[in-house]
Amino acid sequence: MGNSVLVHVVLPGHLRRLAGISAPVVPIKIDRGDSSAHAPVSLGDVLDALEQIYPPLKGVFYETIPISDEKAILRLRVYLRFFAGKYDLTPRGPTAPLPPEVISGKEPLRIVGAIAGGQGR
Amino acid sequence: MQRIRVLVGTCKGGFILTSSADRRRWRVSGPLFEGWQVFHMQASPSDPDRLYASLWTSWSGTVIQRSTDGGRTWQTVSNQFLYQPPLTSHKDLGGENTPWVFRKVWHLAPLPGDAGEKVLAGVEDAALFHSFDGGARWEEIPSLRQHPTNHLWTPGAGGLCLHTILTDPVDPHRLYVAISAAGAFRSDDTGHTWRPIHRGLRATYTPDPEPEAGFCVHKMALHPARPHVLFMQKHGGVYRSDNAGEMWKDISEGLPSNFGFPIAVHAHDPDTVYIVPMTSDERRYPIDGALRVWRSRDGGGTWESLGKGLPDRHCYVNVLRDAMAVDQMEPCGIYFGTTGGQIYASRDSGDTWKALVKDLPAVFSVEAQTLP
Repeated sequence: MGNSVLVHVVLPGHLRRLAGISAPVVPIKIDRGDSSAHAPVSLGDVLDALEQIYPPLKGVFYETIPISDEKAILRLRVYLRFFAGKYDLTPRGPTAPLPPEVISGKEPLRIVGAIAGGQGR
Repeated sequence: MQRIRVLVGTCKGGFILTSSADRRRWRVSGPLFEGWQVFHMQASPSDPDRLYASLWTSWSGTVIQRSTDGGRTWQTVSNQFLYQPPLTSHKDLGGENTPWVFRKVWHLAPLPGDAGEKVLAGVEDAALFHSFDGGARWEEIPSLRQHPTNHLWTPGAGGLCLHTILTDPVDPHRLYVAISAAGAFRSDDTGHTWRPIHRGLRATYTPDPEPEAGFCVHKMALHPARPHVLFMQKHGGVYRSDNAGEMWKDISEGLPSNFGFPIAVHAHDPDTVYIVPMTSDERRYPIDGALRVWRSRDGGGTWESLGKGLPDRHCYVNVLRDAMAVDQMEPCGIYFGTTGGQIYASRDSGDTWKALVKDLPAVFSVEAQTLP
């Protein structure tokens, strides 16, 4: 595998259907490039890779928030939760490093629709 | 042999109902886009198999889908809707200034020509976007959102949504949009400039009954053969304009209530109009629990109640603003969906009704296609 890791991702059903993914767990290869074998892999790395591999997912994890006429920021959507093993990465945002058990493939990264997000249903 | 295809957007996916020209037996397919709310599905007037759908969830935002085979398969085309600078703000429900934030696409309007590639989208927070490549890229038409009256725009209960887009088949430069709660606006130069068209409307929910803007327009409709005549169902009032919105006349007299959401015009008679009155703005259900469509055959001069085949009692559903449509058959077919999940249809211009399906999720939108 060289200098890369395989992260197993569990997506919510509505995103699996959008991307045409039938398997419940999606293996996502993250290339660390020239970084060391122990360089951290972040939540954002996995989301970027998901968007790249599955173009229909582009924009479903982040929303664009304009903060001035010239500048906008990307923010994780507020009703998505990102669980890695027993850790909730959501509050730390896309820079949150994945814990060793997710890097090793022992535990998946789970992307979950918050229970508060089922409005109007 | 003609066929009918009815596109239904619901709070739990999309559905497609199809029938032969006799409109007696219907096939229901769906749900499409499971797990997503479908605000609107609409077909291109140039290519009836080119369909567009606006999907939304609070988890993942908006996604526009496109089909080129009549809804058998769909592709994600885009979800990027970015306002053009400068940023603007509007009043929130508490009266505080709040910046414009893109939330969702309420209404899609594919335009004729260009093989169905040109599409307009009405969004929340209220703005108009256009795409020239079948929805792959969207660009705002900023002149509307930046209109000098925008400080008077406030969200209705559903949000600050642009829900009506009407084009004029005679004058390709003329566009109408309606926003809740901002009002109705007309452009005579393909969207470069806009002006509010509110003369004659009365607001019952603002201190000034005739503000420059801030009207809660629920839906507008026109007949393509007489596009200067507009009909409007407003939050408290049904109106008609005979001069492209220059002046409105209240045509609510004779109706049991002036509150409701959808309004539609008969496919072959520009003077025949349909609405679904609800008891009042705080009780959005049929009067006395009896679901009735009201029809005027003289452009709003007089009204008649149509209920043959509709529930006579214990009916407390609502019919939302985009949930009524007509087909092009003779006699004209009328279709509407309810928040209780029923799709009702009439194949005799409203004289009699039948439920095509009874237990769908709450219906947001209904569009009818007459296929060759």
